[in-house]
Amino acid sequence: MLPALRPGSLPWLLRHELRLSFRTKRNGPWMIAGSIVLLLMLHGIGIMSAFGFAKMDLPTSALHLMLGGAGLFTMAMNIAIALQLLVNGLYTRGDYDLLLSSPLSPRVILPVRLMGTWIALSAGVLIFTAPFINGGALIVSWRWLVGYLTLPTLSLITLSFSFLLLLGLVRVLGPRRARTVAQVTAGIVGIGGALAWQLMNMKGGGSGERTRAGMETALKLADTPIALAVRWLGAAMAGAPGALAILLLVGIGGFTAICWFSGPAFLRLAASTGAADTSPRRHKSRPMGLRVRGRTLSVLLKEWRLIWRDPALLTQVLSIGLMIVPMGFSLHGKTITTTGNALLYMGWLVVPPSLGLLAGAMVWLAVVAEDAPDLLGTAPVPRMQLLGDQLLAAGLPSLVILSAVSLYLLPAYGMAAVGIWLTGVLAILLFLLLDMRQAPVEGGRKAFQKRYQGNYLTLMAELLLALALYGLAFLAVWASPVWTIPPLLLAIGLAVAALLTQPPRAAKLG
Amino acid sequence: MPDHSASPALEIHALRKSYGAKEAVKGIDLSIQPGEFYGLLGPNGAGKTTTLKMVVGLLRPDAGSISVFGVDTQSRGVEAKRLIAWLPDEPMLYDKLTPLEYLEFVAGLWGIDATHAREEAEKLLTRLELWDHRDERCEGFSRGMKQKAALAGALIHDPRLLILDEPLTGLDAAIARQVKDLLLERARAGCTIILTTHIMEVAERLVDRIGIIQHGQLVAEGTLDALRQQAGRSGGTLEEVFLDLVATRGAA
Repeated sequence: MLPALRPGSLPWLLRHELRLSFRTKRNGPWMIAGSIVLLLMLHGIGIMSAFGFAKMDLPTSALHLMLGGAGLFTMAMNIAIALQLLVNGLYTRGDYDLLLSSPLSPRVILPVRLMGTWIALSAGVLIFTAPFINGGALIVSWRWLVGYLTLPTLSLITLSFSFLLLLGLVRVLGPRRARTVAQVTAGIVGIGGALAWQLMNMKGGGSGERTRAGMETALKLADTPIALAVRWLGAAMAGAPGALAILLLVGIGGFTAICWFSGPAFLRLAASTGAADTSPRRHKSRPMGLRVRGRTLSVLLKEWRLIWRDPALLTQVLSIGLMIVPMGFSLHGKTITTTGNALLYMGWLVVPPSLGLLAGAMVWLAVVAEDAPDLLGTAPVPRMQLLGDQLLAAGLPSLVILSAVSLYLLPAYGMAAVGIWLTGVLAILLFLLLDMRQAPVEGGRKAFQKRYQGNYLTLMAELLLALALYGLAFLAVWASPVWTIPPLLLAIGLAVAALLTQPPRAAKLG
Repeated sequence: MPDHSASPALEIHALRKSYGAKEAVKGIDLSIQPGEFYGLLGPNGAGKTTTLKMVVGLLRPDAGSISVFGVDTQSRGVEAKRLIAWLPDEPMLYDKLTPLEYLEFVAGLWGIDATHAREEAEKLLTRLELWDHRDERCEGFSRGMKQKAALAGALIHDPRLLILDEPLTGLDAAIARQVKDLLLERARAGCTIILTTHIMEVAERLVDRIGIIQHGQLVAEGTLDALRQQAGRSGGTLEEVFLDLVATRGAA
C-alpha cells in the first residue's frame, strides 16, 4: 500500500508522475541483461581510468579546470536533451489539458513536471558517469562520490535554464517557431557537443599522447581569467565545500525561484503551445492548382515533403547519419594504402555505414511510421510496387550522397572509390531491409526518437552492421572492390526472399 | 473489361475472420445492389469494421468470398480497389501536406487522369468549403475539416462503392450536414454507399436498407419497415427497433 498523500499536493502529483513514468518503461529481459552487461563494461573502463588517473600528479588548478570543462560539456549536452524533453512534453500535450483544466495550482504542476524531466536528465547522466565515480571512489578517493550530488545539480541548473530559454523563445518567436528553433537548437547543441568531444582525436596519435597534450593545454590555460569560472565549477565538482555550497544554492534556489515565480508564465506557455498547431500555415498558392504525377513520383514527393516540412524531424534524421561521424574524426589523419598505391584518409570508410544508417532512419519514417497505412492499403496498387516506391524514397537521398562522394574520390583513388560505392550500396540495402521491419511505436513519425523502444535488438544489430560495413569498406579499399560483390549479391537475394515471403506490416494485412 | 453493371455492388458469402481465439466475423452473407445506400449497424465490437476492412482489402478473410461489382477482392484485389473508396472514422491524412497536395497524392496512387483530377479536386474542395484552405497544412485543421479533406480524397477517383466507417462522429451540425448532403448527392448519381454509424437518426434519414450485425453475425436486414416487422413492431423509431432486435436476436 502506498502511503496516503493529500490529493492535489505536490508529493501526490509527483507520485502520480513517477508511477506513470515507470509504467511506460519497457524492461524486457533483453533490456535488463543488456543493461547489466553495459554497466559491468563501463565499470571496468571506470576502474581502469581511475588507476590511470591515480598515477597522474595533477596540480589542483589543472584538475579543477578539467573537471569544470567536463561539467560544462555535460551541461551543454543536458540543455539539448532538456529542451527536447520540454518541447515534447508541452507540445504533444499528453495530460496537460487535464492537469491545466483542473483546480491544481501551476505552482504544483510546474515543479512536478520539471522534476520529472530532471529525474530523466540526471538518470541519463549518471548511467554513464556512475561507473567512473564508483571507480574513482574505490581507487583514488571517497570524495569522488560527491559526483552523485554535483551532476544532478548541474542537470537542475541546465533544466532551469532550458525552461527559461523556451519561455523566452515562445515570447519572442511565437509558439510554433519557438518549437522549431528549440528542437533545431537542441539538435545542433547535441551534435556539436558530440563532435567537439572528438576534436582532440583529430590530432591522431595514441590516447596517452592525447591525454598528455590535454594536460599541457589545461596547465597553460589554468590561470587565464576565462578559466576562473570553469575552475570554480571544477572546484565544486571536486567537492570543495565553499564552491559546492554555492553550486547547490544556485541549483536548488534557482529551480525553486523559477517554479514559484513563473507559474503564470508557465500557464501562458502551456496555453500557447496547445494552440500552436491550430493556426493556419499557408503555402504559396499555385495558379495551376492540383498537379497529378505518376505513382512513384507521388510517393517520393510525399515522403520528402513530410520530412522537409518538419525541421525538428529533419534535424533528428540528419543527426542519425552523424552518429558515426565521431568515428570518422578519430580516424582523421590516418591513411590506408589503396589497391592503386594511393593514400586514402580512413575517415572516408565511415561514409557507407553512416549513409546506411540514414537510409534506415528514412525507411522507418516511410514504411513503419506511415501516417495513413489504410490509404495505401486501399490504393489499387500491388503492395510490392508501393513498397518499392517507399524504399526508393528512403534510399535515394543516401544513394545520391554516396554517388557524389564516390565521384569526388574517383579521379584520385580509382577502384577504391568504386569499393566505397559498392559498400555503400550494400549498406543502404541492408539498413533498408533491417529497419523497415521494426515494430511501430506509439506516436508514429513524431516518435522518431523513441523508435528503438522495444526494438533494442534492432539497435544492436544496426551498430554491429555498421562496424561490419566499415570492415568491408576497409577490405574493398585495401584489397579489392570484388570483396563487396558476394555480400551484395547475398543481400539482394535476402531482400527479394524477405519481401516475397513476408512483406513488412504483414500483420496489418491480417 | 468485365461488365460490372449486372453484378451486385457487393456480394459477401460465408465470410469469417478471427483474431486469435476470438471470432470477430462468423460467416456473414450479404448482397448490396448498385446504387443502394446501405447502413451497417451494430453494437461496439460487433464486427462491422472488421467486415468492411476485409471488403476494402485491409484485412484478409479466414474464409468466405467477397466480390465488388463481380470482381473477386482476393484474387483480383487491385482491380477491385479501383472501384472502392474507404473512409475510416479517423481521417487518413498527412499533417504536413495541404489538402491540394493530399489530393495530388491520392490522384497519383489511383492513377487518375490529370485534367479530370484537377477539375474534381476544385469541385470537391469548393463543395466542402475547403477551397479557401487549399494551401494550408492539414495540421491546423479542425476534426471536421480533416474529415472533409479525407472525404474529398475518397471521392476524387469517382468510386463506384463508397464505404464509410462512422463518418459523422465528432462533426458539428453544419459540417455533418455538408457531408450528409454530399453523400446523398453521390447516391443519387448512382454511387453505392455503405456506412456504419451509431447515430440512428442518420441511418434512418439516409439509408435505403439496413443490416444489423451482432457477435459477428448479420442478425437482421431490410428496410426500416421490414426491420419493424422482424422486431414484431407496428411502429417506432430505428433506435427502438434496433434495441429490440439486438436484445432478442443477440440473446438467441
